[in-house]
Amino acid sequence: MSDLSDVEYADRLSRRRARMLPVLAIVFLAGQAIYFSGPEMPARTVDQIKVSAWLVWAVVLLVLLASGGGLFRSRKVRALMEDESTIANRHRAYSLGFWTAVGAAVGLYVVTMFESVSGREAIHIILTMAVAGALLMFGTLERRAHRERAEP
Amino acid sequence: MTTPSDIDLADRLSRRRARMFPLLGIYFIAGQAVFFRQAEEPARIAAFKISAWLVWAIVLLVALAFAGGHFRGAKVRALVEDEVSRANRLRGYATGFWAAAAAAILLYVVNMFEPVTGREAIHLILTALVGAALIRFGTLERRALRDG
Repeated sequence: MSDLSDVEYADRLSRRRARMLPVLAIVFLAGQAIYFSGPEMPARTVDQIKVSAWLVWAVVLLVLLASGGGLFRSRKVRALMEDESTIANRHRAYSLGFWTAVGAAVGLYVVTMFESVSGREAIHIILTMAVAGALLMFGTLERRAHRERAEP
Repeated sequence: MTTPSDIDLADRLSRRRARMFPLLGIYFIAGQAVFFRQAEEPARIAAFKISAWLVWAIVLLVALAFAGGHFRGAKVRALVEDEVSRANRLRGYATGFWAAAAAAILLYVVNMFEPVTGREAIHLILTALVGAALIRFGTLERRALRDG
């Protein structure tokens, strides 16, 4: 059985997640400009770090999306954070991530017919759109769910 | 009111979809070998092949999203697109999303050592996404139909 503090704690974490995810998605999207200034095959250490940092950033956000941010919490708190509505919201977020990736890939494919696009740029744009789309959707749906629960 | 012929048609459409989607997914992934041939070919043939692949991918995506009796009337669509099918489709999208993410991450690492062109990257990511989503959705539908 979950005691009150677990319920309160899970609720607090869940609300924080709903607030944070859309912000993280926007920061991730906005931060992409700095990655397009580097060379295709980075030779300098600073460029290699920049390229690797983006990948680490994307992977961290994907882990956050999949785990719901409760990775290092107790099993009880995790179960409370991952209720049926959250799981459904995550699936809807994946579906938006899926379609934004499709849109980005098809759009880029058409662009490559007229202008050359490097492999790194293509991967960057597709993965960024997929991750940001899914995070934005998940955060928005979670916020809406919290608001609806709070209403009498 | 739903008639027995509507139920029969919906059942037939569901079974056909469950049979076809995994095959289409595998065929789509296997068919990519044609697009990565090393031999030089005339620009017109290369452009035609590229356009054909894009059309193929879009047709499969449209099938994934709308092959639920959408053109057979509201009654049949409601029978084919029940709650289980909708949940299975969402799970198919989730698998496609993760397959695309995994392909993109892997390609990003490969690109650090061996340059990949933009077109190759898009090709591989979209293929992983479409193929995985179709196979997963079809497999889940088959299982749902088997379990009744």
